Amino acid sequence: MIFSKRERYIFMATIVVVAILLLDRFVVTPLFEQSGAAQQQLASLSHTLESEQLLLQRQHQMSQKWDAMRASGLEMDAATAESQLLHIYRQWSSEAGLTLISLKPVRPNEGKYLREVILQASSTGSMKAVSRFLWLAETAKTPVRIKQLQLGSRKDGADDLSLTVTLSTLYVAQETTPAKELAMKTKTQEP
Amino acid sequence: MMKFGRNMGVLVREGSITLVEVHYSGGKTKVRRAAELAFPTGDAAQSAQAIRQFLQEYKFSARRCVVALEGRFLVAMEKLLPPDAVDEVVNILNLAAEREFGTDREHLTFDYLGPWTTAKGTAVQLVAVSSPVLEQIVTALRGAGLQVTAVTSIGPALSGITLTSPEEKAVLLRITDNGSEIILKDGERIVLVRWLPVIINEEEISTSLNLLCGEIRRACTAFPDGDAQSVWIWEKDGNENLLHEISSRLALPVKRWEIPNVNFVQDSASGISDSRTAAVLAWTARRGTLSNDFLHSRLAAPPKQFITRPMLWTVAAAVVVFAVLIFWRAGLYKNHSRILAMQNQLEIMKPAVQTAKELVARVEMARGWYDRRPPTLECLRELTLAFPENGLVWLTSLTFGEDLLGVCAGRADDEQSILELLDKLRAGKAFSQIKPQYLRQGGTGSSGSVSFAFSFRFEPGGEQ
Repeated sequence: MIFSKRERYIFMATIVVVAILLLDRFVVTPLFEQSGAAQQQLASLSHTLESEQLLLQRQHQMSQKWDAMRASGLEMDAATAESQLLHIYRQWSSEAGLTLISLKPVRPNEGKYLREVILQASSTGSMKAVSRFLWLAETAKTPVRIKQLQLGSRKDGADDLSLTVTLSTLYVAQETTPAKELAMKTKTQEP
Repeated sequence: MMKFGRNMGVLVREGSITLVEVHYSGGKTKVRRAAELAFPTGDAAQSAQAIRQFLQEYKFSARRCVVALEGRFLVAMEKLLPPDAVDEVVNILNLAAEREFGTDREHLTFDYLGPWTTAKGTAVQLVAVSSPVLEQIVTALRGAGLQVTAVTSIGPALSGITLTSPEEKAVLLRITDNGSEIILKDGERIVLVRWLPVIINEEEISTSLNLLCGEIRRACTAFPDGDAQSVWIWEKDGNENLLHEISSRLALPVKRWEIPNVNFVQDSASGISDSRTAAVLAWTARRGTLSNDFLHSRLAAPPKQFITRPMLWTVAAAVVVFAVLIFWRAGLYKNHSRILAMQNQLEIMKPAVQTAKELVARVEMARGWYDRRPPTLECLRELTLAFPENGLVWLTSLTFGEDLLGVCAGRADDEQSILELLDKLRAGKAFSQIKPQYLRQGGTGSSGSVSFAFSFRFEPGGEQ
């Protein structure tokens, strides 16, 4: 079969177009997709790696903080924590000048590593005594926080207030990895 | 054009070849070696071997050679082309060769002499030699280690450097032992090339000269008006008597056919038949003035290009595309390698990261019992500052939780004071989500006739 020049050009153009389409379908597009996916994965992994490296860098600092917390009265069992909380409350009430009415400790047993011991306490006293108590609670070195505060006046026109406060303290229910050991590991990994 | 210091002229005659080595130095042309060899019979390899031994025996050192065939190997015919057909010479002559020689054309190698412009148009001499003969000679010489640079025909080659007058109608006659070659020149134009199988016999010289002159006269009819003006004779022995005899028979002036301005220093060429002819051939080849070359014929079809331009472009484009794809794929492979390395690193770091995460989570949680306690005192302070000092509004109860949400209940002398208090709280930044819960009359006594309650959210760090 002899092709004319025009037919030969058409044939060649067809071949070129088909070749380009096949190249695009089976080579270029898959390569684009793979390239895009790889870039995305690379960016994601890079971000993860960076954040995890930062986390490991923070580990030493956090370990020191954890040690300080443990040293400041973070107890290892519920009974000791409860005893410590009752003792502290009595001490603060006495120091502030509040009159203790009732105390009710509760152990919710929630949380895996750290758990709370809660103390619901009622007392009466002047505004100054209440303020002093609250200041002591907020600036304590032991792990104590005011979960709820109810303040009411007992008599109109008199400095006589009732204070119902829910205090909470923490204790360590399960120590996964000793913080000291972690800190040592981190130190040895550092150049 | 050959510019080297030495070359060889090889004159091929029937049954023998004459080889001459010519050296060029200091403007002098020296014939250093000349020898005649009976052309070896047998196949090409045997011929080549014989020639090689011959060259070694006579200590030929040149390797480049030009070959000239005697007129007996040549077929020539004049062709007149239409005016302005110079560009189409090759096509026209190929057609003419096909028409003239038919199927024999396949066994012939063609070239042409000319072209020359005449009154009737463009004239050329179509010349041909037997392809098998040509191949046999070239193969044998190449097999002997020679580099054959050109194959020409001796008569036209010599006539090309003969200084005949521009308007002169000359008969060039090369007399050899086994025949004569006649070339008719009309100025520069070669009108006829013919081999005359007339041997000049010393014993019957008169008869043979008559025969030769008769052939010359017949050949001269090829001139447009049938008349020649001079005869140039190339003859090896310098026989003046022979020239005189021919001149008297043809009634034309006879000149010795010499190559002007060439002074050959004959070192060792004496006694070798046609050594001068072969030497002039070598010198002509060095000057680059060969009349034709069957080895590089102008009529030969141009060698078929295996790689055409579109093919080259296609291959180049394919190579570029392939290179880009390879480069791209290499980049992708590099990225995959980096991904794998990162994944490995993350896998190695995983236990340490898990432990660190747990530690951080514990510390973050515990901070709520240390430095991130709910700011109860700060909330009470901001509330106290928000209330008016004139005592028109006061609180009776306050509830505040660790979620920073609180509820205030109190009393006031009038609603206006309560609304002003709420507006003040809203205007400040310390509290948000201030929502009145109730506002009602019904207080007892002279003061605090209006009771109210509202909820809020404390914003630590905000100021009234």
